Amino acid sequence: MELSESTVKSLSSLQNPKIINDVIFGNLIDIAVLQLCEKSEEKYIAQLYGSKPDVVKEIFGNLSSVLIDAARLDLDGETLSVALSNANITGPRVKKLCDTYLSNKEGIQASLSRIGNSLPHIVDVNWKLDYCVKSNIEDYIGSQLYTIQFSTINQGQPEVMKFACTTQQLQELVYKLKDAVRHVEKVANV
Amino acid sequence: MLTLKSEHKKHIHFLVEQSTNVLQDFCKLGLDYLHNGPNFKLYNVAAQKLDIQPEDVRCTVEGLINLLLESCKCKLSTSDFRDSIIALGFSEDHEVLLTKLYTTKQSEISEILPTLGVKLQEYQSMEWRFETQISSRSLLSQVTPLVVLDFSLRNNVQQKIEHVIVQTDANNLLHITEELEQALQDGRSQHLRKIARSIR
Repeated sequence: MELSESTVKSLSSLQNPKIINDVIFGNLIDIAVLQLCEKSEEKYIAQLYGSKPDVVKEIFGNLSSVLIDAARLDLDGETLSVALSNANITGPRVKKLCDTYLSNKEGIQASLSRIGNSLPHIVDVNWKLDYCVKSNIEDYIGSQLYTIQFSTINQGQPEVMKFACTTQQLQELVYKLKDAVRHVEKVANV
Repeated sequence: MLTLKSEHKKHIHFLVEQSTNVLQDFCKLGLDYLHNGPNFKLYNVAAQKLDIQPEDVRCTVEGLINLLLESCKCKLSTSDFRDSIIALGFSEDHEVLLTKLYTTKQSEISEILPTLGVKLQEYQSMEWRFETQISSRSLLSQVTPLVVLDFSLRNNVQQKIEHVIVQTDANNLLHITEELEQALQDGRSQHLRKIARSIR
């Protein structure tokens, strides 16, 4: 893991109890982790500014970037602490930082995995079955018509995808989906 | 039995007074219309031969086509069609020609009719691919199994096949499969059969 100059500087100040006292240090770490895990609703960094808002803000930003980078590279707690000590960042607070990182790594990675582009993702399906009786084109139809609506998430926005199909077409679709399910189950059991 | 609008009857009526040969030619014009769409050059030639206006030829051909469409719409059997033709005043020789035209084209027209009218885009086929996302810019090492689904949907307005590509995860794949299977089963339910019977 590479650390930029400003990150090293900020993290060094973080170790200094004269700049950041223990309470603020604890809060900083908690809020950073909460925000990265996208859980933060109540606690805000603004509560912490105190008399040195610029310093606290800078430290908070750099702390977050270290946590993100470590999770991105999938480091464990020890590797992170080695990487920090290589940059001459040592002290009792490093241990607390690494422990908090380790216990929240999965949450941070889950947030990271949601970033990026992907195809619209199907999250649900609605269906409707109509019995067609008559239309202006045909006097007697007497056929079943399914309307299928997939709910998808595209770039964080909910969307729908809608189409109609006959019973045979739906049967064919279900066969194919079951085929895919079987394959996924097979892979899962390997 | 078929009931036609008065204007439509007027267009058809021209044929009642024509000889069998002329009717045969109009049947050919009708066939050409069905396969290639209207052809005004042919109408002009026919109009000169019969010494009438090209516009009348056009109306007659379209009347003939409309007769076929209406008959298909009502799903007339061959004998019902024959009766309707006789009722319009055609002779027996004419009736044989028209019935032949109807029986040869009936299945083709009946197949096309349901594709017209109100309809959402329609399912054609689906291809799937199982893949695993192993890395992304924000997360360098990961194992995220995904199923990519490529739906081919027919747009009935533009007569085009559109591809909609989506993805899903294992849980949702299982969920949608179960849900759609349930839909299929409900399509065979007693409730539905009862409704189908009562409407028929």
